[in-house]
Amino acid sequence: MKRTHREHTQATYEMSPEHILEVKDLHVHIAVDDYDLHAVRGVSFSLKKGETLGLVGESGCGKSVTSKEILGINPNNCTGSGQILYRTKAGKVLNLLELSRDGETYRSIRGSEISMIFQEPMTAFSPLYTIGNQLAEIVLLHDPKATKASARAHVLEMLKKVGIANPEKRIDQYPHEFSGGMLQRALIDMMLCCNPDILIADEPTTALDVTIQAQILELMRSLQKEFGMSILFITHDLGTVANMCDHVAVMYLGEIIEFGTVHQIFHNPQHPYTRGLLRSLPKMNQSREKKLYIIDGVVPLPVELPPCCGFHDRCEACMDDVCPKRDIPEFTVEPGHMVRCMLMEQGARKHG
Amino acid sequence: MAKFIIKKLLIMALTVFLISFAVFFIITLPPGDFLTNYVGRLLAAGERVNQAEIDALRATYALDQPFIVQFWRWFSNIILHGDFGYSFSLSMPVTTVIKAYIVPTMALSIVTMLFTYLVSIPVGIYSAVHQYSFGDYAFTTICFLGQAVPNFLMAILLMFLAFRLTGDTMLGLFSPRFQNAPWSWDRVVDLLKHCIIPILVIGLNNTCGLIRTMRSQMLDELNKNYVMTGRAKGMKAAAIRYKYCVRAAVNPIAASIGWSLVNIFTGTTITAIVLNLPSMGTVMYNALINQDMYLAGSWLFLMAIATVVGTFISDVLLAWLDPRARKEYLKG
Amino acid sequence: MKTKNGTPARKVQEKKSDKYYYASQWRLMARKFRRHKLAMVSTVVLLIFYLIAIFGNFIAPQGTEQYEGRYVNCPPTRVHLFHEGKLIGPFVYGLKTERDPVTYMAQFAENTEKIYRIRFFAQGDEGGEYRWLGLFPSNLHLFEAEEGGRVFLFGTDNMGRDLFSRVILGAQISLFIPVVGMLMTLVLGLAIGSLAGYFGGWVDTVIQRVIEVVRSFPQVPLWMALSAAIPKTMKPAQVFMLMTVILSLVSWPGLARVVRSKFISVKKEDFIMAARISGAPASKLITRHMIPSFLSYIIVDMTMAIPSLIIGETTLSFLGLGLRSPATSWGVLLQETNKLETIMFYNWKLIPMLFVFLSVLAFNFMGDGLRDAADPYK
Repeated sequence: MKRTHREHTQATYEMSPEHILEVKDLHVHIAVDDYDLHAVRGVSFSLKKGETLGLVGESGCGKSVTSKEILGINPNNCTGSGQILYRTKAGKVLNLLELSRDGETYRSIRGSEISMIFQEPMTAFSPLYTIGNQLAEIVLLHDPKATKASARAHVLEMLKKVGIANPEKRIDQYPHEFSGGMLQRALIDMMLCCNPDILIADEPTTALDVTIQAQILELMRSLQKEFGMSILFITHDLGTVANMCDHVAVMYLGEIIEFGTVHQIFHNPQHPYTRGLLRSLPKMNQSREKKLYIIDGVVPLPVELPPCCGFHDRCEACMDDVCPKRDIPEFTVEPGHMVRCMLMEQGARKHG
Repeated sequence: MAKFIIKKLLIMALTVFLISFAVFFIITLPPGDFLTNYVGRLLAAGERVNQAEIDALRATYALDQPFIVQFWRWFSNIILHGDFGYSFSLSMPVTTVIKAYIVPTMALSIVTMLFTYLVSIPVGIYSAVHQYSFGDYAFTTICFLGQAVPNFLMAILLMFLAFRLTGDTMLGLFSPRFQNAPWSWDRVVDLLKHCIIPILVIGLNNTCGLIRTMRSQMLDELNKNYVMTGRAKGMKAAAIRYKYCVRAAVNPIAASIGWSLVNIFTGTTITAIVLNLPSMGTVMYNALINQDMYLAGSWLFLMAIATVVGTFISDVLLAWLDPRARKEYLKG
Repeated sequence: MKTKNGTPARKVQEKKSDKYYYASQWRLMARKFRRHKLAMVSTVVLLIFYLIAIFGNFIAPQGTEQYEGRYVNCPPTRVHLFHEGKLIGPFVYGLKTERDPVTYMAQFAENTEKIYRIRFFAQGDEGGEYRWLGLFPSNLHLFEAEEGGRVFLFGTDNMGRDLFSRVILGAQISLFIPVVGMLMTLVLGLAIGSLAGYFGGWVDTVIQRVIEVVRSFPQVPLWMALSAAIPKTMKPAQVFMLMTVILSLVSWPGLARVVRSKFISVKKEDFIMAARISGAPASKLITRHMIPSFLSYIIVDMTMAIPSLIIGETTLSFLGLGLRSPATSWGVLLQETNKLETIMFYNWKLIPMLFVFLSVLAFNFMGDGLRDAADPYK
């Protein structure tokens, strides 16, 4: 393919054969006014083919920035460093951070190999063009053989797949004539048109009604089965994580503070923040008089952070002599379950 | 769409009636009327006055009647006969005056508007895309300066500059030797030369304003979520800009064309007075100074009508260009 | 110590981020505004202009009615410090008239034999009396030349009036008409706009129609027509009032429309609903909750509108439709520049233009800074 001419300029990278994406020590700085927001602080994770990884955290924890950095679509005031290794469909390993953001290689990956769906489907489409026009565009972009007619046919077929009734009529309508749920379906449709390896879903159901949420999640699951793509699922809603994901990474203030399988995270949470999140979930059998648990305070802005546990000032178990004063290393609870909390060291000491 | 247009037209008709009433009220505000002042001036100059003739004129134009009667006669004459009354100071029907001046005024306005749009849209886009670049700062500065100079001063300065550079003040639309000459290539060149200053003066304020509007519209669009979608699709940044952002940013500006034309149309007023152009502005000014009420009133009325029509055109254009607006209008 | 949720009490850390989160809206705006350098400079310039205008009669050596036939079209006087190498302090030379050998036009030249010192805080000549703020009679002036000497910092006009004095006294009109006009617009626009927006129904319909009619008139011609209706015999003070009324009559509908639409959108906001449910009366709802929620926006809008009013007043006076001599405004002063000869031979008469230009520019920049500041989180 003609698009590959840039690739040989890159250094060669090694990557575990079962992984399709490896993020290593990713940092993202955002310049806002005269502040330097350190939005992502050394995040590392990997994604296997066909699996779903949940990235969970409150708003402002850096989960969206991380995901957009993978696609290279953060605004220009963001700078990323570290490594984002990706195995292309052609089998090459690329460090995405080294690619020119608007360059041909990166563009040929976006939309066709790594896709992304967004939080607010209502604003994700331009109001001035028909849904069909905007959907066919992605086919025309990535398939050099596609014609307008074949792209349209492809889009129609996909619209049926994502469960949009009467697609022949819908395809020529404008976004404002669609409901939020329909738009999210159309967006998913668009982003899956080129059969990507990775789908990044940035809170795809947050802006939708609860009943629609379930439908969209169900749709994503069934499409994953059909197309076999990996999903990076970003959300603040632990309930959907339990439904959707294989692995979960809990983020707080730009760091992954706990990582494990869904089972490990839900049944054996270690970090006080993860525990807090789980306790704040409403439960079916919970009495209505009992108030929901609330984690006090708000996520601080990551400006001029000293080395410390980001959660220390909201943590019930904060150890004043340790937590605010040093970097927190990773502790392994059991194979595949990692926690970033000094309590683990204490525990280790006690047990040891 | 038809229903929407008909409804708009009905509202316009009502507005026009109210406007004409307001216009008539305004032009009868000054104490006395043209004839009284005219007679006063004649007497002061020691001339004889034919009282019968004056009375006849007074009766013809119902100047001796109450306000409402005067208004109704004026209004119904316009609507029924297209008769805008009589210009006392120029001694001819207002319609004749308007006919003589409307073509150069419109021509000048349209050329100026073309200039405005052709300059401001590209510059606005450039400034937004290269926000905070040297070029952006340069254009922004020019715009601020351009908006800070009143039209008439700009006209005077350019006139002075033209005189310094070419020895000709470029007043009027033609040099004296071409004033009454038959059309020829040289005459056209002469006309174009004389148009430069008026276009610059009339267009500058509007252009500066439009550049800033275009820039901020474009910046708004560049930060919209669909730009993110476009990038996630793998589109080129430039392609997103031109297919989505420019179209969205230009829409309201293109739709303001009707309104903008009127703005320029009336903006010619002051420039025309200073540069002595054969435009309605000069006529209006003299009419106001001389209390030539029908002439001044008709002119004000026409300007207001032009605004109403211009707004209407803008509304329809917007509905045509933007599917969301189209839907709203279709609903009602 | 434990709080309700069982969290340990902890030291409150003063961090930049905390300040950013918890600062009040007005403080955030002030901070953001201060960062806009041009806007700050412009604000200072405007403050100086307005102070000069307020103390105008004191700063200006001449009053509006004073003139001297001997010094017609005199160019700006140079102020010297040294005479033949000797420091004397600020002084001016005497003026003598010469004829240009080619054009035979009268020209002024310095008569270096006569030296007139400039006295500060001096009693003015006859005719320079004024009432400061219309109350305190005085004839004290910032500076005057010694008996017999003349200081015309900006030259004189074709009636021998000191242009410097006229520019400063003109500022009293040119800078205050727009502000007073704007305040009237604000009152009219807020009142009418909130009526329409709050009550809706037929009140809204009627007001909307009126707004539409007034807005159908192009601004400049309407100003011209209304100003032409001002009787020529009126006193300057009355003309001043009428001009402000005219300016605000033309500009209130724009503001009313904005206020109305803001009202309609803000009516649906949760905090208004909350206030209504908790039983706040309509008057309180409007003045305490609704108007403050978009006031900053309105203020920005108003500031941005002042330049067009300054230009409007200047233009009308320039055309002879607003104020007339001996009343002074920058537009009146510029009337003389209508003739090309004036600019060619007496180019100092363009000086008032500089003031129009600077004040419009300053208001524009200040408005720009305010607009950016009004959106502090952006």
